[in-house]
Amino acid sequence: MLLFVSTALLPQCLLAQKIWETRKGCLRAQGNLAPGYLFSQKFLAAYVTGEAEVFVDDRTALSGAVWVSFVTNRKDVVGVTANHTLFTGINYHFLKPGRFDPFIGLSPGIGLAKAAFYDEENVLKRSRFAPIPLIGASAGCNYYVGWFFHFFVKVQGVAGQVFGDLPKPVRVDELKITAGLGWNIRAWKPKKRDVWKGQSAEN
Amino acid sequence: METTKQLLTLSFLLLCYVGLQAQSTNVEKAKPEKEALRYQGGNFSLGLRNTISSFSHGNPKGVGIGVGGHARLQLLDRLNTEWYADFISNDIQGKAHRTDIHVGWSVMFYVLNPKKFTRKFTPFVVAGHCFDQSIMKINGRNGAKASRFSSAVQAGIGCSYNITPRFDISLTTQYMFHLGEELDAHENSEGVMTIHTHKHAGWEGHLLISLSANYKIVKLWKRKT
Repeated sequence: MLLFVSTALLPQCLLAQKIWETRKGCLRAQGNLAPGYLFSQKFLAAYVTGEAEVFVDDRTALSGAVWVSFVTNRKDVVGVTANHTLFTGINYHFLKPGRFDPFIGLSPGIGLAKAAFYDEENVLKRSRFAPIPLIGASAGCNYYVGWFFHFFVKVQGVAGQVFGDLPKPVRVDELKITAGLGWNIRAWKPKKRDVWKGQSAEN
Repeated sequence: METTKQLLTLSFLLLCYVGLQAQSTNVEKAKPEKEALRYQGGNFSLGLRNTISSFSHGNPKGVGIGVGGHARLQLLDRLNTEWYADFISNDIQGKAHRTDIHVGWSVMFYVLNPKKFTRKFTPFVVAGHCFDQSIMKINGRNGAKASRFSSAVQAGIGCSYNITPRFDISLTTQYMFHLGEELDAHENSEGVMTIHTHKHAGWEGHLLISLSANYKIVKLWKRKT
């Protein structure tokens, strides 16, 4: 086991630049259980979420996230019953590389959602899954503790509405919150370091 | 004697030609210093965007939400092209909905020289064309449905905020005119919604407001100096 771990971490030792020294070339990822507050039904939904972020330079990162819902509403009431989403985004990390790393981002997404509704005979039915375009914006902060892990917190606002075969559209406006322990590895060693104000490039 | 004269004349003409060639080469070499407008050509960037579709087909309350992405390929310092795809859904009075899928391209002209995107705000005018698949459906499991494929043109204005020379946030407002037949939802006096198709309906369209984040991934070509 020790041999496996040390072998897996060997490339990290070779690419010794820490993420709090140069973010460019790093990959950050996390997997988590997370809540989301659905405004239309005033309910705290539960999700399994996974997210990855690649730093293309010290300030900018391209990100992707998946949210799979497993509880979205109380039993036997109308409203969203499933709300799976896929987000892509660009995040801007506005402080120069350091252990403390706040960021903001634009994260448009596509959702697959279905909802429960009462039909003409007052019977509770579920709609079919329907794709929905989503507006998304996020803000968060990382704190790099070790050279391969960090703590993070992220809040994401989402707006959209599901139509499908529902008699009336249902809004899926939501505040998604995620926090916990994330992982970071160096995917490549940048040829040039980004230059910050009052700093000169070393290589 | 005659031959010598001819040879001298020929040599003189040849020297004149070589001299002129050298001069014109110097002029050509000097030109690019003045014309600093092609250095950003070849920038390829990827962007993600959210779009708000409002005033849809004359209905000011029908605000739609859209998601999309685009690639930008810059041709000159002030001229960029955008190749995009959008997926927009619109509510129609809570009784029907409309889905638009746009695939198209635009040309962007920067009103001010972006100065290699070191200028913070770079306003631009934009115009282009797209193909559009519109699907309109009355809400409900057995609601009527109609679709049409058409072409559209769009034009507008926008502004990029360059956070870094490679990364920008752009806000664009465009009006899109659909050129094909029109899909329309009508509500009768009993509150029942029906879908109608109007051929040769003329201009109909919607206002699109997009917020995008863009990153210049690579420079595809460099200008020869």
